Amino acid sequence: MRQQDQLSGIQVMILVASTILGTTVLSLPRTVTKEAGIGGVVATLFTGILTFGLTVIITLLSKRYPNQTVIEYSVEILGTIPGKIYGAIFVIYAIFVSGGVIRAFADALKIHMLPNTPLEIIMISMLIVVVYAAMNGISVLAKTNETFYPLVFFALLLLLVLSLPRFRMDEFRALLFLDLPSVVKAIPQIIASYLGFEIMFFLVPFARKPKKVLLYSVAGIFITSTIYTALVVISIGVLGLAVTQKLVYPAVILAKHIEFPGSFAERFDIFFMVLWILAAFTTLESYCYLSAFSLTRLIGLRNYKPFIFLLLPVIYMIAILPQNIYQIEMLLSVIGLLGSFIVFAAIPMFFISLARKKGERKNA
Amino acid sequence: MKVIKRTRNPKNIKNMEKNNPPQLKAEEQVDLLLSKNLEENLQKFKAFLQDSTDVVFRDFKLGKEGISCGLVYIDGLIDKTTVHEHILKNMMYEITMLENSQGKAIDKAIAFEAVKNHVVSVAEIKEVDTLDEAMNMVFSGEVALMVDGFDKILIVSARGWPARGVTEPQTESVVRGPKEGFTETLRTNTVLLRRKCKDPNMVIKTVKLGRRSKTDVAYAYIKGITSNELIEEVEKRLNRIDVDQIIDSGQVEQFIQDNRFSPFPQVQVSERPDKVAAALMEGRVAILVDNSPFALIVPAGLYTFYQSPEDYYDRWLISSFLRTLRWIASIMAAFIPTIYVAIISFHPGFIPTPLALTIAASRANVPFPSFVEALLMELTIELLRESGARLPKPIGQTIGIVGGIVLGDAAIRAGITGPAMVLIVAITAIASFVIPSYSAAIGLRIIRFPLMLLGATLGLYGVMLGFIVINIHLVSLKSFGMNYMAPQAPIIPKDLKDFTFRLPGSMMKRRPIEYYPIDIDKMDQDPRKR
Repeated sequence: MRQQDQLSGIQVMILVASTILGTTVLSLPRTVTKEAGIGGVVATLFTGILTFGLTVIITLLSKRYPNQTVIEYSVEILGTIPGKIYGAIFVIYAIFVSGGVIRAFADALKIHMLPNTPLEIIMISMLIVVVYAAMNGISVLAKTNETFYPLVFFALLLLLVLSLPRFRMDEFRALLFLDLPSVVKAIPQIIASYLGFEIMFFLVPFARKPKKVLLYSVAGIFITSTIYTALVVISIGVLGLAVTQKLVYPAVILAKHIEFPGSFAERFDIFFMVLWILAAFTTLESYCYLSAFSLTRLIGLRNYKPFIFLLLPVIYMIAILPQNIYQIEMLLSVIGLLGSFIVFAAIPMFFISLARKKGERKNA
Repeated sequence: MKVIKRTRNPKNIKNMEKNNPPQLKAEEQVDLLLSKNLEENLQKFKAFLQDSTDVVFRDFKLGKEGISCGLVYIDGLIDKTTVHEHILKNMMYEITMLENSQGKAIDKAIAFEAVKNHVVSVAEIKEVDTLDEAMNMVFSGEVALMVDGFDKILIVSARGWPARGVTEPQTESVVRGPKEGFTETLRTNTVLLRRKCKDPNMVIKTVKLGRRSKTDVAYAYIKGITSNELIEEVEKRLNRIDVDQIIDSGQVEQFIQDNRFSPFPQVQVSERPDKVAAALMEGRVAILVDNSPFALIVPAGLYTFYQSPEDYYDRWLISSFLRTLRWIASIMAAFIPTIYVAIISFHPGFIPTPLALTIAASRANVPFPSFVEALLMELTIELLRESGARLPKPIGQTIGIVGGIVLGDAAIRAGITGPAMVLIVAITAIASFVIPSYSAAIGLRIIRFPLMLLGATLGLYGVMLGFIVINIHLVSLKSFGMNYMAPQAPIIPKDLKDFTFRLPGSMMKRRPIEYYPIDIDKMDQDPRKR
């Protein structure tokens, strides 16, 4: 009947926020503090601001081509071959993220919730559900995100608020002796945790009011960076810097310390992990959809659905590739590099596009 | 015996329409057009109806000239007083007074007009030209009146058949609010609806559905509120229905719903005229089926199944609380058993240690894994519910006592189940009855079985997977173009006023946007500020 499948502003905001918020949130305090130490708090904030800027550029760039996704307009901006290469990198990136995220997800779940269940069962069952979601298209994607994100947000908020009684300020004295170069050095690593906002490359053609997209996408980033910074601050304050740096999943350990008020549930960490499954799912479905969708657009086809099944074995192969947690981290850092390339490429593309439009105007 | 012959080809509707007037075999073919001869017309009726004993044929003479007339009606479907007092008495007796006062006999040439204009004292009168039209009318409880020399039939309305009175609805009882419910007679139902809303813009249109049953199906909407697309969609879907027989609105529902395979109802069903009238005012369309006390309301989002009409009659705090309770209950009805199974089999550390130990101790003698235990008990409660629903009321209560108290206790003593499981099953059962809509509740009760399997195989992760799948299914559902999960997904901030919470009526100045009403405003400004 009516075109209800277009995305509303709130949906854009939640899509951005919940695509960012994925599996990495469990290990975030470690990735942040590993390099920068206590400066990680500042680094998280800085990266948040950087992401903010990048999102603005990506959104502005996409708004210049309101009917196209990045796969199509990169060809227009960069020329056929470089544009196609960029598109191909995007497809590979999205596939790798899908694989990496599902592996990281299954690993964390196995360690903390299902020690006796084979990794493969966890991954395959999740992939089936993700495929079911991705088959239904972008509007269903947005609507599931809308349903799940508040729950994830609630879980995180509960985690942060209930941790407050154990919070100690002592750890933050070191902030006075902040080592700025190490903070800057940590940013490339942290940006991997912020990846997900590149979904903005794709959302403008689906938005109901493309003009207002910028505001909502930026709001999505704002929510996420606030949560991230608060999480880092609180896990340092509760667990201590030295412990945070060494734990694989500091957020889960943080949850383990919490006693549920009224103590009707003994282990808050299971409760937290259960809702975190939703966060991992929303990230996964976005990337699974994006990988199939961008591949279809790259080839020049319209129906992306068969490609989901085509990509499924590839995603699964990538997911079972790493042998241990160290190799998973390696995989995730490769993904981080690819992702950084993709989002930073938006800056030159934006200016080339700006220059070209101005040039056209001058010629005309 | 006359057999009505039809060539059937359901896929080709055009072909069917061509065959729609009942056709007899070639040698028995009856011309459906009427002749001027009364005798012939009566013969035509008899060709179809003479085998049935409840059809009454009556011929008599009219006036001084003795013009032959004939009546055809179905015994029991008409009001006999009307036929006697207002048709037969007038035509046989009072007509002579008319003739006397005019001083001349009624002319044969104008007899039909005279009967129509001066003799039959019934308000509702129609003229038809063909036999099948006349027969349709006769079977709806009208009287067919024929006058010799005219190829038209006068249809006189004298409907009157044994019908159930307006009683309190059984399935949707309320503490506060009107106590009347729909009945099996379509006309009574439309009257109940009209009394709730005197807006002249309220339109009630009728279509005949069912090739043989020819059931009257009415759909009502308010012109100027309901979006035209919605009305067109309803008309399109109703006209698409092509079956032999429509007995209840449930059959219509199954033909017009969007997703045939979903466990969730996509059409709202109500016995209550006040609920239907309120739905019309929101810009929705109601479908009433003759012979069915259940009206259908479309489109229907999931949240409509959690609303009870009292929500609007009670003050907002009470209804908000009750609605929240219903949502929690529905989640409990589907998820409590699976969460129990998952926790017991995978994460016993999740619950407080003393409780975990108690449950473990009580289960020590139970030979089954918790999944089998849960399955057994859940199936038992479904058996109890079904047997209670089918039995006469007094016995049903006995079953409730035997099932609820004796069975539960005996099952624990027999070592088949632990007390915790009985508690879980009881809570689930109670929770599933909190949901006002029967069809929504039964959907939830069914999906809890596959969910239990997931919880038993993958623990809380499996429960979450089930939750995710249900959600994906729910958000991808549509009901007549409307998002099933609106206003929660997609979030429509303005419509959230009447969702889990119901804000005070004076704060809801607009109709729900999700139905795309033409006229969005309910009131211009807050009545308190006026």
